[in-house]
Amino acid sequence: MHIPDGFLSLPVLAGTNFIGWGGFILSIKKLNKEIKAEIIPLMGMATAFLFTINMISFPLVGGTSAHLTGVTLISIIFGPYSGYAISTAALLLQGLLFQHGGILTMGANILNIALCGSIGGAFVNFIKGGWGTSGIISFFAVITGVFLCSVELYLSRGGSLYRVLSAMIIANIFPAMLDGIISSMIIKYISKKQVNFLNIRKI
Amino acid sequence: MKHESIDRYSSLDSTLHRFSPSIKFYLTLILLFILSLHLPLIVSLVIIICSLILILLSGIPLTFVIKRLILLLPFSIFVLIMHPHNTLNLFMNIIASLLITLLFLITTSLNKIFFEMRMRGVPDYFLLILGVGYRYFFLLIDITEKMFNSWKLMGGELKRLRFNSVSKIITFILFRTIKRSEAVYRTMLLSGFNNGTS
Repeated sequence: MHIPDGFLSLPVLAGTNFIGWGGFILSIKKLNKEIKAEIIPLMGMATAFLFTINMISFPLVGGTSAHLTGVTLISIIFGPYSGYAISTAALLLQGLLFQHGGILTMGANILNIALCGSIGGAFVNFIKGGWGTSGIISFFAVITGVFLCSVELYLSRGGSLYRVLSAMIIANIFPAMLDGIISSMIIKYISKKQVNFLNIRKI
Repeated sequence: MKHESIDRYSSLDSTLHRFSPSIKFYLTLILLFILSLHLPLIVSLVIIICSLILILLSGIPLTFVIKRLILLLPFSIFVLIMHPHNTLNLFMNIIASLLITLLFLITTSLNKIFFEMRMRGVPDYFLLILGVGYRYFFLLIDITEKMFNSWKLMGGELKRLRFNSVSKIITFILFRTIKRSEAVYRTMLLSGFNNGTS
C-alpha cells in the first residue's frame, strides 16, 4: 500500500501532502506541549518496533505475501497524536532506507497508513474498547487506507474506480485481517499480563 | 525478513555523494514535479538515461539498482493493468521517478538528511525518535529473526500461520522494546540528555 513516486497526479499530490503533513504538524504541536522526556526513547523504540513488524511477512498464495502494519495498535498504546508521529517516523525511515513509498508521495502514504490507524486508535481509546474492538477497528483502519489509496490512484490515472477498488481490496483483505487478528491478540496478552505500558499517558 | 537497506552505498566518496544534500533534495523534488506533469515520453527517457549515468559515475553497481527497481515493479504492473492506455509513457514515467528518488537516497546518508531536517526546524525530539528508531531497528530485526528461527526449530512453520504463536512472539518483541527503551533513557540521562534540547 506504500505508493512510490510517479503514480499520483499533481492535484492529488498537493491534496494528500497538505492533509498528511498538516496532520503531522498538528500532532507535533500537540506533542510539543505535552511530551515528557522519558517517553521520547520509548517512542523511538516503538518506531523501530513498528518498522520491524512491518518486515514480518506471511506467505500467501501465488508467491505474494502479507505483512502487519500495527499503526492502530501503536495508537491504542500511545494515543493518537503520539501514534501519528511514531508511524510517520516509521514511514520516513522505510522510505529513506528501503524506498518503500516515495518522497513526493510521502503525504499520501502518511494519510493512508498513519492517519487512518491513528484515528482508529483514538476511536478505540474513546469508547474504551477491549481486545475484540481493537481487532475490528485495526481491520477497518487498514481497509479505509486501502480505499483512500484506490481513490487517489483513480483520481490520478482515471479508469474505473470499481476495478481499482476491487483489485486493491482483494490484494489487501488478508493483510487487513491479519492486522486485526494479531493486534487484538497482542492487546489481549498485554491486558492479561497487566503490563503497565497500557497505562502510558496517551497523547 | 531479509533486509538490504539503500544507505549501504551512501558512504561512498563520489562527486554526487559530496554534493549538498539540500540541493540534491530540491533537485529531486523539481524533477519529480516535472515528471508528475505527464510530459512526452522523451522527457522520461532523458531523465532515465541521465540518472543511470549519474548512478554509474557514483560507483553504485547497476545490478543493485536493477534489483531495487524489480522489487518496486509489482505495484507498477498493478497500476499499468488498471490503465491500459498510454502504457509505455506511464511505465517510463514511473521508472524515471523511481530512479530519481533512488539516486537521491543512495547518495545521501541518513545522518546528513537528519542534519538538514534539524536545520529546517524539525523538533529535536522527533529527530531523536527517528534516530533511536533507525539505530534499534537493526537490533530488533535480529532479535525477531532469532525468535522465529528458534520457533521453527521447535516445529513451528510460518506457512501454517498460527496466529497465537505469532502474536506471542510479537508481544514479546514489544516487551523487549519497552525494556530496552528504559535502558536507552538511562544512558541518555547519563550523557546529559535534557528533554530533547541538548
